[in-house]
Amino acid sequence: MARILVTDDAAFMRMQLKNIFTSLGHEVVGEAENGKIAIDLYNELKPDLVSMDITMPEMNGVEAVKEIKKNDPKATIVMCSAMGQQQMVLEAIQAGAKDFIVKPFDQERIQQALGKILS
Amino acid sequence: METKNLNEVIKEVYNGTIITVKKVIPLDPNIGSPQLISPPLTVELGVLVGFTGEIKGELILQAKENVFSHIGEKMFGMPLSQEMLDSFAGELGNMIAGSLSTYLASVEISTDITYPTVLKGNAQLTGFKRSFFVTIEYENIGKVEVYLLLNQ
Repeated sequence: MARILVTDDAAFMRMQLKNIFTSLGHEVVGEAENGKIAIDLYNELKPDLVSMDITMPEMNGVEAVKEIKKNDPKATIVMCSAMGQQQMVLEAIQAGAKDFIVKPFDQERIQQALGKILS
Repeated sequence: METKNLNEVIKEVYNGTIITVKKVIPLDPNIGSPQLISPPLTVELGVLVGFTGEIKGELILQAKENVFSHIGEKMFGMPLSQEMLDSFAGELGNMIAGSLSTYLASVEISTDITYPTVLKGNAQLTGFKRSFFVTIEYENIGKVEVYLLLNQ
């Protein structure tokens, strides 16, 4: 079981991700609505995994990944975004993300990503 | 990279919108022809997502509340509360605009999008130079209108 921090500006998407993570047997320990809050919550909660949206107010997901990885190079972060173009994926992976899930997604895709990362 | 002219860009946006809507919303649509409109555009309930980069403008998704509700239920298998419905409408706009941006990148039109803004209560939008919209009809559910407002 992993302790997960969910980051997305849409309450609906946070609820969806929380439902999926919980039904896969993981625990959602925090929810952040932008990159800045995600950095603060990461430092406070030290989760095993962070799911990170990209397009968000205040601070976008790629910037947040860079900041989190600067403070904790071992942080495990999975992007979860509607923007699936190659350049965006590349930027996120270069920033330190472990995987990139394109919205809309289903439970199987999340399960596959977690299986690969947490094994 | 060769810069496409505006007509080519509009053609790709129209094609991309159809591909994207079919990909994101798991319902069988009847898609209308693109139509031009003049300002102002009045939106009763919708989502606005800004485009930057090689396209400067806004994408607006407009539908009745019960249509957003049907789509949300179809996509996520459960009815949505009022608060979650507004958030879902925003997220649907984000997914369609994000997928459209991804499609446009595949035809060498580089764009980025802003986070979505939910519009309610007959919001009036003006100041755009040109606009077209396409109606996407779902049998027994209702229609979704997709507008592209261009500032170029």
